[in-house]
Amino acid sequence: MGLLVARTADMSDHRLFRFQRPQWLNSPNARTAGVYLAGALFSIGFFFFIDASTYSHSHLNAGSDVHIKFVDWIPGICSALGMLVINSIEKTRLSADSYSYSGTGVAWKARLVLFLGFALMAGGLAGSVAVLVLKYVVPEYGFPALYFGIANVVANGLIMLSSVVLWVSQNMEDDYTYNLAL
Amino acid sequence: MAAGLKTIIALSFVLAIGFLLVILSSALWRNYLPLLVVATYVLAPLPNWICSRCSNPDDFMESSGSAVLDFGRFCTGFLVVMGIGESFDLFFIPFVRAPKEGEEKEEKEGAETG
Repeated sequence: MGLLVARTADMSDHRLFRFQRPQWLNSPNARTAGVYLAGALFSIGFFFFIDASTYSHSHLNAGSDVHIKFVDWIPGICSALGMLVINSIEKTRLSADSYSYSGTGVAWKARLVLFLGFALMAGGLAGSVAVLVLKYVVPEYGFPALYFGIANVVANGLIMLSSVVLWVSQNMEDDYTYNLAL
Repeated sequence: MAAGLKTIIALSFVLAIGFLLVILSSALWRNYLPLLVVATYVLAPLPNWICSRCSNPDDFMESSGSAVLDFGRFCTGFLVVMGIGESFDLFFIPFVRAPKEGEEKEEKEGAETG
């Protein structure tokens, strides 16, 4: 988080880190490419889970008694909600202090909502690992059943990665880019 | 964006081949689920288009318009990769019980539009 806040406050004299941002990162296309990449990562994560879910309800899995139940959906729902909360926050409100235009009470509220969003997302990832261990590793299932738990963890990890990519690409300085609509 | 004539011809050729493969794979095995992939690709540019109409075209330094555009691009990227994921799913997981044991439905991926 410190790296991301430093990027938004990055004037040429007040840099926090030794390394400068690479020049290709400042192009106006990098921002839209980042948003598309975030959508693609979210979709790949979602599809790992849908793949495991359809396998468990197909007739390839007819003989076993290990299926994906509602318990397996809960971490994914948590992660997606966390991503929605994190990326809906107006970023300039986070660094506002009491003398700026946005008033006295906004910064801590924005930080609280951001904390709740991160907690939801980390809770989703931790919950998926917990489901993997408690439901699939402890009874020592073999491979088709173990794949359900692993797919759940991978899906939540990819949703978290997608949220990171979206946050970083939305935080890029776009002072020099003009969004001319079609 | 000025696409050259050769680009347009090549893209439409690829699109036609993609449609041919999807229709063949649906008709030969009488399973019409691959048409879902085509429907996903047809729907994919819609969020981009809707959000670019919704955002305010007059003031281009407006940051709230940029959020709607970003959401549209996110949804479009999601739908495009969802098409690939759907065809992947259809390949590995038989949605319809095959008449012979162990026969899987082969699905060919539709070409991306535009």
